[in-house]
Amino acid sequence: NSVSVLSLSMKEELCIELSRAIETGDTHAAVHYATDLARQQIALTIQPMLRDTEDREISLAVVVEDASSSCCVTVKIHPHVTVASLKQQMFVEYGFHPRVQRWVIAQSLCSDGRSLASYGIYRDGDTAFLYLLSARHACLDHQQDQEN
Amino acid sequence: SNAPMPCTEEICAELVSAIEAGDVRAASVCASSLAKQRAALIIQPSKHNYTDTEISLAVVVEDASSSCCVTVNVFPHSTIGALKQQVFTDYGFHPRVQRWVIGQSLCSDHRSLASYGVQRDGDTAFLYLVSARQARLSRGLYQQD
Amino acid sequence: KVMPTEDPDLKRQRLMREEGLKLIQLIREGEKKGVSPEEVYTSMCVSGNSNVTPYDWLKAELPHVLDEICVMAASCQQEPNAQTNSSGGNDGQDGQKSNAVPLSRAEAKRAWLAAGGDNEKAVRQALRDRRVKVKELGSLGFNDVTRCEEALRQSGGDVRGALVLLQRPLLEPFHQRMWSDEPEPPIDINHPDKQHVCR
Repeated sequence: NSVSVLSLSMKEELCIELSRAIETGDTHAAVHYATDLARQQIALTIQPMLRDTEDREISLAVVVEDASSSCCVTVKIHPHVTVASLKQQMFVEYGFHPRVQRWVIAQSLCSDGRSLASYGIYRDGDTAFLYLLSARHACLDHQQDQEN
Repeated sequence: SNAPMPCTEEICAELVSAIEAGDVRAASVCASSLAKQRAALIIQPSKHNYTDTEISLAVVVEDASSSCCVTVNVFPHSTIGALKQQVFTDYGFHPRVQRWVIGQSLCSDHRSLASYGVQRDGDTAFLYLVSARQARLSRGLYQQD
Repeated sequence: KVMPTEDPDLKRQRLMREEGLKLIQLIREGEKKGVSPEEVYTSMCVSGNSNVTPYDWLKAELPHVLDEICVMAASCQQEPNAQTNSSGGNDGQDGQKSNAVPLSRAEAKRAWLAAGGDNEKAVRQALRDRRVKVKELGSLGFNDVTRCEEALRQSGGDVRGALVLLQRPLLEPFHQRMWSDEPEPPIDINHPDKQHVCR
């Protein structure tokens, strides 16, 4: 019969295409691949995907504050990184020297060596506060900032 | 906007039976409503497409300079992704540094060993370990997974 | 030297080993040249069994392939509704698809590798990836589709990079205040936000 003339690899590819189309909300493609699979009458299994939480970047809501203003941005980061590397990332991406950064998560002023996860950050939408000291306060001069 | 889980599961079950019965119309309706929910699913050919006995796979582990052979017990229906996880657990090589080669193919995570032709004891697969530096470089490329 | 009577299964296993080893050697050589296993393999699949090495092929041909993918994607973007899904919603506001932002080579390359060197599939995947990423940026509050696409193009399709590009202007005033000569901000006791005065 005409059923299952497809090789195993082609069946698997069709399955993965269908799951990708569904996940990205591409209705048109989802219908296309489901139709292909139905024409072949392939026996399959569907399970919910378990996300590996430890290896995923999250969207951290960061409220940036200084003496006079406040503004909210989103920072993509792995929860297992340390506060020190978060500071480094903010320096690379937005140019704030690590020395002017003070991070506050919930009730804690964060220490460099600890991970964000240890302060309870673990999923999208969790909030951290970044207080920016004035450069004078942090004993930083412009030249130093540029050098680093 | 996410529908409750039981509903998603019901549609999944319906999709499975529609596809197996060759009911194109019902399959399309289910697939389209799952796409509207953007459900994150693992869809695979069911196990009876594969032989279900565990086999001893000969794995030649290689890196830029050396090579070494070990035996790994696997089911042919296991995906490469699951195999990477198994090797990570057993031997500590992070999935991101593992590249599997079977026959003429560089293997993709979502495909099964069987789909690359692994059938029985003594079949050979190659595990190439890229340097951590290179794994980090290509990290951006594969972070969507 | 292969015996005509070789057991077919043993022959299969022998081939499996020999072919695997061949690919491994190419990957190993690629790593020395800074080429990823995925690039080696995909270029091999695409160039067929010609006598060009994967590395030469990547150098000589890949840029053209990526340009072609970008051109194909651009022509898909021109056709209204051809690539938009039927989720409605923002279809209204980005109806003027004609000024869609083209793909970067980095986005084209990622899609080309993911599609196993199939250009058409790569185009579909790249445009789909774009849409998903624009949605993600939208969910973070950036609703100007063209600006998001432009940021994604500049970041080579990296959401994190695009986010940084979009958010930098928001934080610029903080830089200015940080280096300003003003010793302290004037305290405005009439400020509606009392907490703000205390800071």
